[in-house]
Amino acid sequence: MQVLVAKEAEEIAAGLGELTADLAESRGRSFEADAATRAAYWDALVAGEWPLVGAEPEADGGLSDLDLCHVAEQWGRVALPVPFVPTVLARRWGFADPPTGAALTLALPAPGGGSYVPFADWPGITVSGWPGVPAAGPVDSWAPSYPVSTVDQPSPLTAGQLATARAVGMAEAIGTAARALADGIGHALTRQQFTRPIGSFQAVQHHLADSHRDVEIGRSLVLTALQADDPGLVGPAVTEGFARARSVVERSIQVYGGMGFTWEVDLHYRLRHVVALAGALDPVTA
Amino acid sequence: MVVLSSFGSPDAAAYRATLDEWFATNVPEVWRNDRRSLDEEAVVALRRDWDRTLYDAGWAGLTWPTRFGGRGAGPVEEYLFYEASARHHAPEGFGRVGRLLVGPTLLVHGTDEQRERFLPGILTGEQVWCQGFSEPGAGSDLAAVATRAARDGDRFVVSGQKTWTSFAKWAGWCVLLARTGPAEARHHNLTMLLVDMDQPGVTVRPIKQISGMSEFSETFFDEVVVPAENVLGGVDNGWRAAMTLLTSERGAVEGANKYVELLEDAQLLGHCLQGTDERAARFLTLVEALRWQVMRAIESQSAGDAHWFHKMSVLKLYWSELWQDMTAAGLGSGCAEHRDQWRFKYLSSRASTIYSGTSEIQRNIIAERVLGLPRSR
Repeated sequence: MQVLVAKEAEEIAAGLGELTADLAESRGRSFEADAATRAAYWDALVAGEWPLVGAEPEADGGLSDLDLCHVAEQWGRVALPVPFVPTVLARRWGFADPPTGAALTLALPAPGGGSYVPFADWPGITVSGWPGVPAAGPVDSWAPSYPVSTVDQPSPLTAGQLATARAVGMAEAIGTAARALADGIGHALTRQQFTRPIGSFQAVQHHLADSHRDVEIGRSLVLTALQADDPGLVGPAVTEGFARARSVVERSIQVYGGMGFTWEVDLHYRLRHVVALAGALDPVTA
Repeated sequence: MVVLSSFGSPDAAAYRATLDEWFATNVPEVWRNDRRSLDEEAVVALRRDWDRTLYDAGWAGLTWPTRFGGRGAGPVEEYLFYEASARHHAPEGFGRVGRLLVGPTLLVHGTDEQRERFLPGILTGEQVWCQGFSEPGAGSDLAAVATRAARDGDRFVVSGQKTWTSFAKWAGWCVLLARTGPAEARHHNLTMLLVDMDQPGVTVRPIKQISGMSEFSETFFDEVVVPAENVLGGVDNGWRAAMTLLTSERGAVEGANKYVELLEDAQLLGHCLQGTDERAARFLTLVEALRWQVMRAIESQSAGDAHWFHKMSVLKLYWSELWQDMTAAGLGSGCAEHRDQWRFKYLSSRASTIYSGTSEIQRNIIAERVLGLPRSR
């Protein structure tokens, strides 16, 4: 039983957070990055050996699944449009021999026996556990940070791997939600109406307090998904976590008011990221 | 002794086993099996006996320092103790307010004389305490307390009305918050007094709740005399002492009790929904998340994280509204076998989002102290 994230994992996540924030700032709006910019993001991650972050087995002093979820939560705060989390999981499960800069992805079970494959159109990507590169269907890029293709071939993941992938994806969504909450707080502190910051109104405060509750409970739902004694609770924990993550982003859009409804404010990208993750990983919708 | 810092350690497993054995041996058979059929006199006797049982076994001052007769345990042990207590359906002793609220406040703010005088009786459970904070005009706005304590030489004369006083009927002592300064000096005009309830001018009247139960009283003080040596934490410094006491309300004990109570209700709900309804699994999941939330807060506290309390502020908001959702689902489940139980729980659960900080106050606390938003008032 592990309750708190290891200090080492907190430091790793903080380092990843700094790098991703710098990358996102250095090249314009990361969600709208073109192919060259996405390649530059990936190269920077590979140069820092970040795709190997979960590759060392826990028994040899590597990260636990909970620690890895914390790293994924950090990733979700910026969510660059590159196949980082799928690559980390594929290497953790030994689908490819490190070290190499190659991008990897996972085939996640879809209704009807096929698979959802995130980032299937990434140049030179390998789908873990599938020989060769199967023909991908059209890419659904509604969320630029998590493009997904549907492929008519079954997922090779074990039940345990799938459960971990779902917990990690939910943790990532909680990270995106935490970032949207921080955005909402920042806006509430600066936006003035009735000559006061809107964050001084209880109606606005209570929205943000509920979002804080949902992010906090989301982290406890990650623990539930990873470590509940009753395996029947794993699926509902993932579903609940995704639902709470989405509510948090929705509330921040509400707090932003009309600005939250504009393309210019990044909140819609965060919402799309959470919805797309859930679409591939929530056991109810996927 | 070694203070436990993590729930996953072998020491924690051993501690849990020790507790399980102790509760299995010591919770009275009649309480375990027939407590609902006992009359009030028998219930009172069993609960008072339980205070003595806890003291005799050395559990009464679990987290108090050893030099004050405690066991010097940390919050991990405290959680494990109260979780085991709830799982084994141990009685709630009458000494609870003294052990969990007044004692810890005396340890922080009390004089040596006050500690010497009061702590032993609190530990044995012979001294039953009640808490005189809320008033008809001071609920969420606790600083609006209007009960007056007028200085008269080396004593105070107290007049006013308190409400929602648990255990008042049986209490020999009351930890009372009264106004000693001018109304304008909000938060700096209150004094905490240790009041002997067994004297003329004290009247206790039970309040009948919507559930039909009477767990609380309203308490009237008419020129009640309190010696100045019974001021706890200094004259006009009662707000700080009150905050220490209220902080003791939110912690491992509440977390453990609510986790077990909600788990049992979620299991009952699973039975009533016949396992066919996805809501049953969802409620069990949300209760399991409650357990992890409590454990995260407690391990953070053990690790010296100054922000551990932020996780606790989320907790009250979360479990109280979750419990209301569960009791509403139980009420609507059409479960004939447990109909009366769900009706009672449904009505009882209305209180949970009101007492010890309403959901609205909890949201204000999160917004201002955790998220750093401006004060709204």
